[in-house]
Amino acid sequence: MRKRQREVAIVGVGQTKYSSHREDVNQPEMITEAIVEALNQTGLTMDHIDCVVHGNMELFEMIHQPDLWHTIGTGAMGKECLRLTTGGTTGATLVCAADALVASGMHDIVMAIGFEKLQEGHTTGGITNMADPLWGRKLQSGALVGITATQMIEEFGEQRAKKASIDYRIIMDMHAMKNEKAHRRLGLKFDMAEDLMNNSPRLVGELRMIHMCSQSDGACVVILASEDKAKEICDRPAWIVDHVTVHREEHMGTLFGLKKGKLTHRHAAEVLFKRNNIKDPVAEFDVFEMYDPSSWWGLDWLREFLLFDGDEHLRLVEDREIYMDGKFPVNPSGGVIASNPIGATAMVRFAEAGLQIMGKAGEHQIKKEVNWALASGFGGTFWTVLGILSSEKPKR
Amino acid sequence: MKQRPSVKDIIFSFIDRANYHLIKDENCSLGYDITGGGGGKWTVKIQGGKVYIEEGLKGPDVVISMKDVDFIGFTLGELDVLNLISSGRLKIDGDATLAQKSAKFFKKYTSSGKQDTEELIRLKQILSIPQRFSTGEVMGYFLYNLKNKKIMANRCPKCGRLQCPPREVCAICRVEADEWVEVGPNGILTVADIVYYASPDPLTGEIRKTPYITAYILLDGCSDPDTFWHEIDPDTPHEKLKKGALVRPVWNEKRIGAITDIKYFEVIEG
Amino acid sequence: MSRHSFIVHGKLALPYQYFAGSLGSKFIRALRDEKRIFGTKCSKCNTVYVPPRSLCDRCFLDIRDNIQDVSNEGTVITYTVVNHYEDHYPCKPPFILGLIKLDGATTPMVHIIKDVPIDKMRSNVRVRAVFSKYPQNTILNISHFEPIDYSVFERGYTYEELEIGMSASFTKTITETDVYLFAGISGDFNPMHVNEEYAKHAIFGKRVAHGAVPQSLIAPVLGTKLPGLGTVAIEINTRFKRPTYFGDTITAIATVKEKIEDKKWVKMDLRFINQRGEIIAKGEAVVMPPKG
Repeated sequence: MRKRQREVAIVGVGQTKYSSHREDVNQPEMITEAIVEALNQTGLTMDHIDCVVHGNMELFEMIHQPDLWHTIGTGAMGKECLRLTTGGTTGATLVCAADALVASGMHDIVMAIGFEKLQEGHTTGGITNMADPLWGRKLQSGALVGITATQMIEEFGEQRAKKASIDYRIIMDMHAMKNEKAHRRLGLKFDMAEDLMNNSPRLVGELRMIHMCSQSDGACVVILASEDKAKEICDRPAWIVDHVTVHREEHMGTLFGLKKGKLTHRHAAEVLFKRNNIKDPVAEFDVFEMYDPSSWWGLDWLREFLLFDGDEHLRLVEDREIYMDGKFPVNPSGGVIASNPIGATAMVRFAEAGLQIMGKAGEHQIKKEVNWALASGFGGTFWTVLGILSSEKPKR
Repeated sequence: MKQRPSVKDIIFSFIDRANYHLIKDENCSLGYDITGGGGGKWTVKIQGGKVYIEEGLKGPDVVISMKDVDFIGFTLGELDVLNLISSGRLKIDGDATLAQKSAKFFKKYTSSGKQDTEELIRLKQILSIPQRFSTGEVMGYFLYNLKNKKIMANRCPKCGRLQCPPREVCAICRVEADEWVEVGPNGILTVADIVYYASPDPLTGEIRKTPYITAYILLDGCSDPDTFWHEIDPDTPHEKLKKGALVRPVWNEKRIGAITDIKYFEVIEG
Repeated sequence: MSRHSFIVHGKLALPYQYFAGSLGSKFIRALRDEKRIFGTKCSKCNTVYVPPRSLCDRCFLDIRDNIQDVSNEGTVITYTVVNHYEDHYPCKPPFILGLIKLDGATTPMVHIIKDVPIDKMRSNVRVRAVFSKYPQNTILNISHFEPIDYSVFERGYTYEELEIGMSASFTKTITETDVYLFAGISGDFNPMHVNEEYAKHAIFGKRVAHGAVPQSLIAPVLGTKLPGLGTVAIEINTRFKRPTYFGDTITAIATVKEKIEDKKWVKMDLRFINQRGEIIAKGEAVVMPPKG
């Protein structure tokens, strides 16, 4: 399946602090912060960048002036440019596009920028408006879906399912507490689990406010370089091994029948693992940066991505093995639950996985050496991007 | 360092901060139960276009409970309301919609020692854009039949599944679905969602009434997992929203060829 | 299948807010509270951005602290007239939107220009900002721009403003009355103009207008339109091609042909066309346009 002209690596990452209070900057000013950090990390200037790819979802901010706004924010005037929007996966799609532009030989160094200022719009209203106007708009509640909770409670019992999802949430918060860029850092402790899982305000069914991701402002920048440039720029670049994009028919009805439907996540993992000869993802990956919009989804999707059939995903959480120093660290960054500037969010997964390989994650760096990382993006009515990063340059 | 306002300062500033043009038709009361050394209990009454502050909780429509330091931090914009609510530090008891709505009743708090804080400009608006959509042939036929209380699905000639609402093609087999079949109108519930979160109605920007119930329904004649997405009578007791529960549509008297011609589905007793 | 597609009317209504940011807020506050306009200057390329930007996108330099006041007065680089109306427009049409370069700024800004007769609007007009009586948190703290010197609209185009290819015209129907009045004015009672029976046997077969009658229609063009008020005619040459009969409608057209730099004069191409599209005369004029 690999038809690359050459190998590509992530050589630099820049992120703003994620926050719901960025009244002090407008959109381009916010983007600049992430760009400056990425340039400083790599020692590059905008002159070295051959092409910029960027994206967000306009309906969240209701400003449609990508040319003007991004030129002002990026310093990319006159440079090659590509703009992409694929919903929640936007950030991951941008990384895939940047990878393709370098792997094909079209450009040597590409900068990918994902951003969102969710405080400028109404997140759930915006998502609702993305639905079919004749059908879905009157019915849906944005990305707030309680069905996964209902299904897990049916399958594993109320107490066990609720406890596992809140434990997942608490572990994510413990990770976020170590990541100064993270938006929500609440200081949750395991002894708060009972209170939170029963008393946090309900959003939809058993999906409670504590389970749900934040609405953040922020930007993320990833710089990708060709194999001959990557080593010059970064001592230990994060090589892009492979990635896959999977989507399905738009209609949600076929996901929620009597039997639980097969998610795109599982399909993506099956395809990606097969063509990269991965037999035991838990043993083979050193970290997984997963797009987890809520702790119910995070918990359930571990099962899908790791191709479990029983309750192995619950046990990973119950045994605290997803903690950053556990057997299978998940989201040492704190994940999407902690920080969710949507157009950047899926890129942050690849960026954070890359930082772990580069050894530049700071306080939330995993102690053991990270050589093999998995990153996922999620959007739309189940649209999945799944990718593998490695510390070693893939062999062709 | 800047002097921080007291809880009492903030409570009594509601009178000066009121957006009087927005509250002229309101008749409600907000209770504040602020714990901690600097706390207390107050009722903010909005009546006849005026704001009154009373000591104690005088049967308010909603009570907002917080610690004193959190209340001050929240008022000054240092603490995020969603963080406070989700971590249980801000509790809302009573009419939650009113609590949400009341945020608009008052202007942002600015302390008297304001000189050292920068005024940051924020523009607020409801963007309202008229739109026109074409139903297309397939959806048009489906919506037309709703007027006659008929729910139509279309069949994939390859895999045989019935799609409802109908789509031009079966996305799985990638062939045109061209045979019409009437399904339902009754069915069984596969899974329901009780929505407590009040999001804006995209047609008006106004906040929707909650809770409401959305559900996936396997209509008679359709096969799993091709379910039909709609609402369930919001007054249905939640224990009745079981997988497999029998449901039937409740039609509106006046039908216009829209998905809302079905008011909602109701659970059939027994 | 019968045609079942129909149109559904919908609406997209959502609450939005927009943060101007720290620098943007400072700019709006200066407009609102001090009636002061400032930009930011890039120390590398010397560009002064108005409205201000934090980043010079050409040099990728943070310039947010390099604030530079600019004048409330500036020059209209170019403009357009808005005739269409939508609910969210800032004012009722027709109105003028100008690209205004304030004195001291490098980049022009868009704003409304009022108090100008729309048909007399032109580029290079000097304007000043009029601040709103009602403070608000947008660029509309400047209510609009107004001309500094109205006399500009009472004179024609200056030599500098005239460009090769600019054109103007005047149209009039030549009646029997016009011809008889002109005969009186000039004393030219030649029977081919005033004697139908005589004219029947003359070259054109009926009475025709004096050549100077259609030719004179170029005077309102040069004197009131292009270059316009203040113009002095130096020379007008006309070569007649066809007669003008009573009742013919003649259009006189002048087009800028050449700019004579050393004298600051302009050479105009002249054409006279009748209602059948026939050229009745051609010519050339040299004029001295008004001074600015």
